[in-house]
Amino acid sequence: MENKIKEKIKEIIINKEVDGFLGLRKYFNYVLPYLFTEKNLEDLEEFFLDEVKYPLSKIILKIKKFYPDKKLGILVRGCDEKHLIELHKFNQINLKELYLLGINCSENMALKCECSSPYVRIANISFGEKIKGKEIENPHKDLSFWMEKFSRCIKCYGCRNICPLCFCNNCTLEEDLLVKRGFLPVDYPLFHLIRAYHLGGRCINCGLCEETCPAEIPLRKLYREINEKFYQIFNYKPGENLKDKYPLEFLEEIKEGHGI
Amino acid sequence: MKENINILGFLCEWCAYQGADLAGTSRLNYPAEIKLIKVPCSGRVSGHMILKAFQKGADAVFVAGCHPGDCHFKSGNIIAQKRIKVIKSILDTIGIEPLRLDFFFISASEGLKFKKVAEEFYAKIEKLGPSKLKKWKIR
Repeated sequence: MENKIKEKIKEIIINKEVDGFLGLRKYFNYVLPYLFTEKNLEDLEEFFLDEVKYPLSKIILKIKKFYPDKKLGILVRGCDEKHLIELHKFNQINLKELYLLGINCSENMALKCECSSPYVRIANISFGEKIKGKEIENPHKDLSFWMEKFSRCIKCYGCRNICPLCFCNNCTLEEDLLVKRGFLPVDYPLFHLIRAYHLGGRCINCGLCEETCPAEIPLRKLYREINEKFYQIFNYKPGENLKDKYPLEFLEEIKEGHGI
Repeated sequence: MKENINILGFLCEWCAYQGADLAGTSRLNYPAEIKLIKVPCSGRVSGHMILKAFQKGADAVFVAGCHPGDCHFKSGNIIAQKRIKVIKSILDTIGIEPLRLDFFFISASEGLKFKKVAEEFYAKIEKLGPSKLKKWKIR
């Protein structure tokens, strides 16, 4: 499968379907994100593909800011694709300017990630077999459980920095009026609840934040439970469909108007 | 000894606050534990403000705005109502009773309704008791 993917990348770069391709490269035993272009096509020999998750969707957002008119290709898994769908809805990236090369995750990886949909949907081309995911149970926890977990927070901002859906220029978590900067312990649970409020109905349950957290706060569980309730209220699931509208998007409503 | 209860209310400048004003000028009493803040529109109340209030020791928070269709800024009250639903689900998730947060429609001429709503809300919170968050030594 790896050779097939390499050939495909070479093909689309030479045919000028894309100006660059964002993938992973093994460089002196380190796995790094790398932009393959026509100039460094020989580096494609070191193209890396294994059962790892990497926030490539966050990196392409940064690259797109510097090169807005280039067409880029990107390696996506099911979760990366959901990120891009959500970013498209929030006008951060245009999916028409991207070439998505999708990989369906293996059963082993789906189990490891506890993923409910480990396959790609809208990618231009996809490799690997499509397998069914598994829904996980989410037992309800009480306040003491959450407060104990939140109190461990060392305020490293890792969850915000890794999350592809955290794209604001001015972050609320750095607002002195809400969360005092430079002080520990953090104002829990406010710090975590602000993030939960922002990600309610937007989190696509990829689990990057929980993997990153050095204090092992079960953030994924928190966001998943909020999302379930969000679904019950507004009947909206993030990352599923390009046409669905985010229910808290107000601008449309103001256009319609409720006045006299 | 009975523990003190703090209730915070965000009132919209155009309807709900005028309603509370009317309750004042017509000498209607409402529970003294309710503290009111005037905001330009109920849609101005963001989720952060409500969450911060709970963090700082409020036992309950309510937001009051104009009736649907009467909003000075066309749809601020509808926005606020939607937002409150989301924050209620967040509070429920971490184990704080969602009853502690509520949204009311009060117009400028409804002084009596404001008194009724305030008393009913206070009675409900008194039954629940102080917020569980207070037990934790948080800043």
